[in-house]
Amino acid sequence: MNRNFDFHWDEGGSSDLPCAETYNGGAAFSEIESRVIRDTILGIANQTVVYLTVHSYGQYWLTPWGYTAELPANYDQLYDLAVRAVDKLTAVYGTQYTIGSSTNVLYVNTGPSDDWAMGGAGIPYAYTLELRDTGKYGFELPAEYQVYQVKAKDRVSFDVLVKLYNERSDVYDFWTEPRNIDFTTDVMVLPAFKKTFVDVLNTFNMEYHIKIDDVQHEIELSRRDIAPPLAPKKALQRSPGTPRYSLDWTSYSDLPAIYEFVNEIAATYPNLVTVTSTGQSYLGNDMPILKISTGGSGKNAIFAEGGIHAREWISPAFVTWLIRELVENYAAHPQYVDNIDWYFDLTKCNSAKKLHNVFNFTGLASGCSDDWAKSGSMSPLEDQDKLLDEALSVVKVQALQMKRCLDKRKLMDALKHASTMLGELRTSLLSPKSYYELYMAICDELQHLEMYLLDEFQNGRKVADLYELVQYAGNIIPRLYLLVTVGVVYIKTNEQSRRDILRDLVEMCRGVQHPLRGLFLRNYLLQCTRNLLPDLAENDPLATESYGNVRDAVDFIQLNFSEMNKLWVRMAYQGHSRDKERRERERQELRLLVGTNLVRLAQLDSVDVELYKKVVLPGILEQVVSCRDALAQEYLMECIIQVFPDEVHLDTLHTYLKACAELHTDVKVHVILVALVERLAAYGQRQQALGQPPIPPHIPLFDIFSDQIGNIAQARPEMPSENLVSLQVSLISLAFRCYPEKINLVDKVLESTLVALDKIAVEKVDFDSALGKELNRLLRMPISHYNSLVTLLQLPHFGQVLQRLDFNGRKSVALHLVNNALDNETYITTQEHVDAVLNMLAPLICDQPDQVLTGQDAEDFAEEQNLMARMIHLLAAEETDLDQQYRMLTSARKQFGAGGARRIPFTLPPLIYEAFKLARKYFDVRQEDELWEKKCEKIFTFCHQCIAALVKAELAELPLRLFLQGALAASQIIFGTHETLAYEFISQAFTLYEEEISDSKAQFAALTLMAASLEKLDCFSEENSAPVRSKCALLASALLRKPDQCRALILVSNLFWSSTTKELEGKPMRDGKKVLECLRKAGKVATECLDPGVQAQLIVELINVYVHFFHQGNQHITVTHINELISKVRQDLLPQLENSDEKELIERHLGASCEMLRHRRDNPSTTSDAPSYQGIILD
Amino acid sequence: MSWETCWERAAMSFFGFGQSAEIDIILDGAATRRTAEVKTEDGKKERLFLFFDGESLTGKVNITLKRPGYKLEHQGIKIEFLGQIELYYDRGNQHEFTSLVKELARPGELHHNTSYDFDFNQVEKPYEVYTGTNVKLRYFLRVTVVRRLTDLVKEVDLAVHTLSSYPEMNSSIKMEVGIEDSLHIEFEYNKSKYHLKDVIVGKIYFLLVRIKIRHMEIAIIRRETTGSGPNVFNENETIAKYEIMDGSPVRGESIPIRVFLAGYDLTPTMRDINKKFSVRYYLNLVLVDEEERRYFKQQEITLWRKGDRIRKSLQMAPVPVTTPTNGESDQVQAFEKIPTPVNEEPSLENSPTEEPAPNPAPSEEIPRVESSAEGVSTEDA
Repeated sequence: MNRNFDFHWDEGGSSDLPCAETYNGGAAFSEIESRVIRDTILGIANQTVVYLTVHSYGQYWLTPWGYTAELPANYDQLYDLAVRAVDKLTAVYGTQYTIGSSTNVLYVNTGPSDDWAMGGAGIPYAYTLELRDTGKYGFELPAEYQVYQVKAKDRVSFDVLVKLYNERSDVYDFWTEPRNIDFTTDVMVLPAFKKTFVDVLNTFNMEYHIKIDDVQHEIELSRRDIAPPLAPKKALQRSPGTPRYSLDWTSYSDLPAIYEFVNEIAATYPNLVTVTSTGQSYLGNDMPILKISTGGSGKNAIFAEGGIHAREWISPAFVTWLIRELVENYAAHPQYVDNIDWYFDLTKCNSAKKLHNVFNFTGLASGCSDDWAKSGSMSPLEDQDKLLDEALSVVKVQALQMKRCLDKRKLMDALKHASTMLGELRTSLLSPKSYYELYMAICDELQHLEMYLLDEFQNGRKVADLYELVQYAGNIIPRLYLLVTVGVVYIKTNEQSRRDILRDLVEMCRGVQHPLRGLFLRNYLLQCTRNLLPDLAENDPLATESYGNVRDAVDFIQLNFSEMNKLWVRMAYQGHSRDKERRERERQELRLLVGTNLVRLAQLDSVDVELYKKVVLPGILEQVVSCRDALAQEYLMECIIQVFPDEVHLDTLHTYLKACAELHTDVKVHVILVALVERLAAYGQRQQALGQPPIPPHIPLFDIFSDQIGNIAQARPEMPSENLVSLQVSLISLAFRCYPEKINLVDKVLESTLVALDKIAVEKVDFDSALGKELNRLLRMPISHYNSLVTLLQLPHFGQVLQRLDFNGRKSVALHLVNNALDNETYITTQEHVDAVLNMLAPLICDQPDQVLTGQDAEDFAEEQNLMARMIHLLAAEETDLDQQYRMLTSARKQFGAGGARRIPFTLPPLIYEAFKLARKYFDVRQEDELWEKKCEKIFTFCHQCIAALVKAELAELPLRLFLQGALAASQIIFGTHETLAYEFISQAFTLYEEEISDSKAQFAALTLMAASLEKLDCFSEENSAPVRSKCALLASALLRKPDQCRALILVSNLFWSSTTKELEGKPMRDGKKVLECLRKAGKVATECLDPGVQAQLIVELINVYVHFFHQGNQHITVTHINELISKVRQDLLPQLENSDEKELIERHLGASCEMLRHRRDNPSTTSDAPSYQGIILD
Repeated sequence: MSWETCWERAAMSFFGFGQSAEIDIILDGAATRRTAEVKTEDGKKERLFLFFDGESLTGKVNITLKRPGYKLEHQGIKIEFLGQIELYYDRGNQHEFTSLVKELARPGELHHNTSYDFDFNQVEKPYEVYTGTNVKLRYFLRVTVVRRLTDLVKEVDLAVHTLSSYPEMNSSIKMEVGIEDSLHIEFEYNKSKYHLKDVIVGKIYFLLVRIKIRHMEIAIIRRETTGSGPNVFNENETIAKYEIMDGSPVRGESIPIRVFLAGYDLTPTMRDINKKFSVRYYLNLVLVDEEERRYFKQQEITLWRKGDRIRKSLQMAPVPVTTPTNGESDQVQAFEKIPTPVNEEPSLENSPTEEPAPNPAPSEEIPRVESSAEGVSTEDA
């Protein structure tokens, strides 16, 4: 493929032979892969400064040109840059690269990509890198890779070999598949498995020897074969498949691994990496272009590409390594990415398997199976190889004789041998796969004949007689192959009307009505004539009557196409019905033969939109529709979409879609349409990126689709509803990508979905059904696209569609919605929206009539409800519109209130906090709002109700906390009734404590909270405050466990010291007497503890509290108190304790306290009112 | 004079052979005259000078004495132009349809090598030379030197081609044939009369196909009829077998036919030549199904020899028929089917023997003939 670029194309150093590595493709840009490079480069040509194409082996850094020994104009600059690059490489790896233009360093090669990039696309720096071939590690296959040639000598061992082939291809790379007993098979073995493999071979008594000792070495050898155009093919080059190891840069990777890598890296670094798919290669692989850019425009770009040659395993590896280096090691060298846009073309990585015949060889290979044994018409598997070998040997002999005769210029004899050779193609015994191999072998030989004839007849000898002569062949198959071969020469010599000859050839081929033979014959015709079609516009002066014009070319291909299609379809009806499955598989394998016709049509440059619309498409569609074969229709319709450019699809949508409605009922129309929509949408996006309107305004793309989808739905009442919905999904995607501003279109789609659902009378859709999944997809699309719940509210039908899902479905969508809103911080700003949104989220908010009562994982449930709780914080009206916010909260309250006892503990608290926040806001703007006091009151009432609801739900601790919180909030916001409200809250809390909390630990915890809250409350008058305080003390001493009592009393003591009342105007109470009382009591309780450890611990704590209050200046506490306690611990308690961790802890605790006291004693404070620590006895 | 020559002369004289002579017939313009290949009885081919009807035969007869100096006595010298038909089953009974005699010399003596001019002016040559299985038609010149005991005779065979002008009526052959409910086809050959270098162009349109056809071929059959009355001998020979279709078509397919006749060994059609024999040609369209059953339809074509050679123009495939002609509405002809293994079909050198058909005849082996007006079936047992 690297000889396929349209710059001095085919001027030498390339081969016309399709199987050669240097095949030129028959025409410049005949291969879709090279066209992809072309289109991509042209798209970025003005910013691209460097084009790199990476190849392997040679250690060369090559510049253009390849077609001539002359140097490009900017060779000096090119050389300079190359020298600098190579110096770096030498510095790092010590390798020496040879620099120079390809022709001068290596050999003439015309039409390679770098020549084109420079000469054709005008990129100033274009290089070919031939990577190093020796080195320590990295790019070579490790030398331990060995290839074994194995021969199974009996059935058992052969089966073993087949088993290995089928199941262990991860470690054994079969270069040739095991064919039969006594046939040799080549296997490349991972070094680690070498011993196992040899053991197996010995066990089963298989004959083997090491065929290639060092694979690496062989590859280098075979590399040399590339230079001469007609290099004999080695087994090495022919073997299908590449090694299959994961991508780790120490070994070589296959295509899926590379794609996996590409997708992975694109997903991980979305900001840096973008991947665009450019359609599919002939082998059906995606062809991604990877772009690394930090954004921005006007930057220089570097375009790199690797793997254009088959079997240069290292090149893709290098490219992927480079990608990884740039992206994952971005931090190490940001300048490379920040200043330059990188483009990587990974399309070529699959070229290893590409054959000129553009059909899936490997597919054919896999299609061969035991089923052959059952087939009556063809021979069983074992015989296939024998038959094929026999046929191939005849071909070989006859071809040799043909060539000898040609050398002796005995044309008649040569033709006779050719005819005998071609007679092998008359067989009915071969499977498609074997037939294909035979066909390929014969095609190669026919090339020789053609070349000879061309030489011979270009010098004025008349071809007409020859054209007649070959028609004397009695058998039709050899006759027609020869006729085509001679016909091609006839055309090339320009002796006869090109148009007439083409027409004649394609007509005469009708004589072969056998599907397999006919398909291959016509494929041969198509291949031979690929560059000879009169691809000239009708008004072109060169398009004479006899030369023909593009119409003739189109007619030619179309006729060939429809005949091939008929043959292909006919295959389905031949033979026994029990073989149907096998036949279908074979047909799948052969489909590319038919599809190639369409590819050729698409390659005709002179087909303009008008012609496509009037002739090409209707012709194809007529054939497709009339063949009434689901398999063919589905493939061909997709083929049309893929091979023709997007622009023409836009113009012919009506026609195309109309045809879709007429397809066979088994055809998965939705797949086709989805592909089409997808493609057009991508096109629209690309156009947009180029600054064009996505879709030409005169084409109402969306309407067309939506109408036609309706028609199709009507035309095929039996179509499964999920397919219908998947069509709608693609419609939505289209709307997003091509009409981003028209939100009503999306709604329209949803509406029509609803209608469709009505039609099939589906009330509730099972989430796990196919339809449910599709609906789910449909609904998620707008969610993920808009990333805004609020925008969704503009789609009135969204909710309605949502309602059609069953509970699980709705819940899943709702979760998605919530997550989406949270991720994107979508704020909901009006009450209406709140209602609407929460309606959508209903399955998460309250019980649903259709709810399934299966036990749900409590954790999941909590997770779910936590999401909802977070959601509440998104309810935020405009800063200034507090009333709105209030209304929103009440609305939300109503909805969440319905959630039942299980849900409200999660949802109401955030709501309450939001309400508190709102009250504070009112307070902040009190100057502006006269009614603020009233509103605050209302809010607190609202909160009270909420908490009451929680109480009703038989919760205790949570409402207790909320009550306390409410009291605090009320106390901070000073409005008329806030004291009453606060008191109310506190009293509720106390009531709750008394009535509901019975567990001692909970009691202690609650009491701690209450005490703390009370300490903070400053709005109470003495009248309210005193009873609460004493109640607290009472409750503390009423606790069950002594230590709890003790500690609670300590806490309560604080109330008398630092809490405040309205009368005190914020000053602390400083009731030292009460404090001492509390502490005494606490001390008493502590001494009542029986366990000396606990007692000691409590007393140590008590000491600290005493010290605290003493320090605060409580007159009622004296040094004596402290001394007493210290000595009590020291003398009484500690000695009782055994040595243990506990004791040590207590000692340390006490020690620290003493240390502090000592410090205070020894460094008396200078302030006058500080208490004196003199007299503290510490030792 | 060498010793050997002396001895030879003496011996000849001694044994009394007398004078002998060599006779050569030299035709005027022999160097430039065209020749034609004519098959001999043993299957070989020889090149003969070619003459046409009405052409004059002029030339010289050279008589070379073997022994110069000795005289040759004779009873007269004559030259004859003869056209004769020889039936192999009736050897020795040649039928001369043309016989012209010219006296070259009266009885007398020849002393020197002598040369005589002869001239048959505008000789009628009504038939073409032909060498068949049972019959041979030849023209020749015969010079006879009449002598007392044994005449000296020299014969020279000539090739004669009869040329025809372009036939005025040359309609195409078009016919619908079939076997009820299993196979209906319509075929068309562009002409009914073809010259020997002509190309048969035609097409076959499948109207109904319910059998599994394996392939289809066109055979050119030569039928030589000799004798008359009860003693009629028919000899069929397949001159060419030409596969025109591979595989099984379906309804609506049309298959092109193009057969170049120039490559085959053909003669013009001869009808009732001198009431002795006829040579006729037939195109036999044969369909072979997967059970090796053969269906065929024969159509006679007339072959003629065209005068001047005109550069052939390229023959292109016919435009396929899009609709079958319904002109002859119900004139659906019946196919012949060969129920039993056909051994009579002569095989060409190269074509492998494909018989016998394994399938013995099923009951419906002879299809119902809906209209047998033109049905020709000669391939009988």
